[in-house]
Amino acid sequence: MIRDFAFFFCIALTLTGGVLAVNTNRAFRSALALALCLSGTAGLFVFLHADFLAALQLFLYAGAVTTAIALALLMSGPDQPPSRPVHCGAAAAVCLGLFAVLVILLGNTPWPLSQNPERVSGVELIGTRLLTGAVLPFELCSLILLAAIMGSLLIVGRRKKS
Amino acid sequence: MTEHFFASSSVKTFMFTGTLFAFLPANVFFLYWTEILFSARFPFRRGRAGVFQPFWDFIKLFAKKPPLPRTKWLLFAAAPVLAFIPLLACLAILLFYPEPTTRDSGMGLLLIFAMLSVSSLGVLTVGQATNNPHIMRSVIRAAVQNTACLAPLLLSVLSIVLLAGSLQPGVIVEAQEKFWFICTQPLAFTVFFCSELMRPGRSSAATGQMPQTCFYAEYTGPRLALFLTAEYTHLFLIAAIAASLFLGGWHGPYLPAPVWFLIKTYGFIFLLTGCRRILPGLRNDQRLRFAMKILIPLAMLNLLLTALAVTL
Repeated sequence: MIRDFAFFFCIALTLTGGVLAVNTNRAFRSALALALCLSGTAGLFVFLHADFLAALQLFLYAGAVTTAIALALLMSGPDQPPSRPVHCGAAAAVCLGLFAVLVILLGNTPWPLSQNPERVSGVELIGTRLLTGAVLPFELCSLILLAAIMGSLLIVGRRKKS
Repeated sequence: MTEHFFASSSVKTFMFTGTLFAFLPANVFFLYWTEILFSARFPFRRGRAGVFQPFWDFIKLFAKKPPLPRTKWLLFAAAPVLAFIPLLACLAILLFYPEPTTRDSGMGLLLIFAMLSVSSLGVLTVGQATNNPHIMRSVIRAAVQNTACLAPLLLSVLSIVLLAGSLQPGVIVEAQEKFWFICTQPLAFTVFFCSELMRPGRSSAATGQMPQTCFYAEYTGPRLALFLTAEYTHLFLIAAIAASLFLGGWHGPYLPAPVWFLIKTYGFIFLLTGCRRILPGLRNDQRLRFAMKILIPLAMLNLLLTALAVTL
């Protein structure tokens, strides 16, 4: 009963957050709605027995990324709605394309159910996998982050000079 | 001759001005002193030594009709809730985690810090809702410092996690039955303490109960009460984390376990708030520099050493 309620609450949170994030014309509200949506997704991860992913989703996405977005929006001055919608057609095309790709991927992927549905600690599994089999992509991710940091520093430095 | 000298009007004016400028600071200091003396001693406090005063103050806040701006009222009203709800979740996790349950997935600390990082969204929402440049400035300061202080804090916690081999406060406390982690990890404790000391909030620069430069200066009534609750809950949370990670949690002789836990938690809080009152406040850039150039490298070094010690 409570489980069902929590499950539907998470779904409602995700959907409401997503719809609000897309439909408001103020950037800051959109960011807050995004945080709502991501928290709902974290709840759904808990229902999928992926507690570690849920915690990381809350920590990195709902916490850190949204805070960074909100901070950037605050720094960039008053939050005025754009006078007219921009690049409507291009945005629609990109979104529809992405949606089509996702639908095709979801339809063509087999979703095998786990044979032993007992709980295992996800932290250890993910940690071992990250530092053995998936160590190259893991390190590449940090390289990308480093490149992003250096790029932003470069942009700031150039602006200061001019 | 002397009479003539003192009677001259220019000398008179000079002395008069001197007296005035001597009297001015003396008056200010005297009135300031009497004000703090009397407001501390005046018999209007409820209860002995004013124990019931916070209760009455909160009743007063809840009785006030809170003003709501006509534009952006939703953001304005949502900000204190956004700041408070994650902390409530944190408290729930922390208080119910000590007993390892069946639903235990072994990531209590991760969840707690996740909620703490979500909580700063509430602060940022204040800046957006109140359209006030001064508030905006303090909001940005608070948010940036929150983030800057959280990074060394997390790094220092990480070495404890490495040492205990678990993310769960309960397991970490059980690992400290023989000796506390503050003995083996003094550097981590120092970094933890300093980074929490630097957090804005109840800062040392504020002489009154509510500093005017605080980001919630435009709030009153129940919403202000919610912000204050969030502030003190945050303080308690950090102290409880410190007590269970560094000070041995509920371990201690003679007294029952919860009493020891509370003693350590409130001891840490009093140490922290006392240091905040005594030490001079750092400027914004000084805080950032201290966090980035001293605390984070120290925490990294400690993490490396701990990793070496654990593997060897």
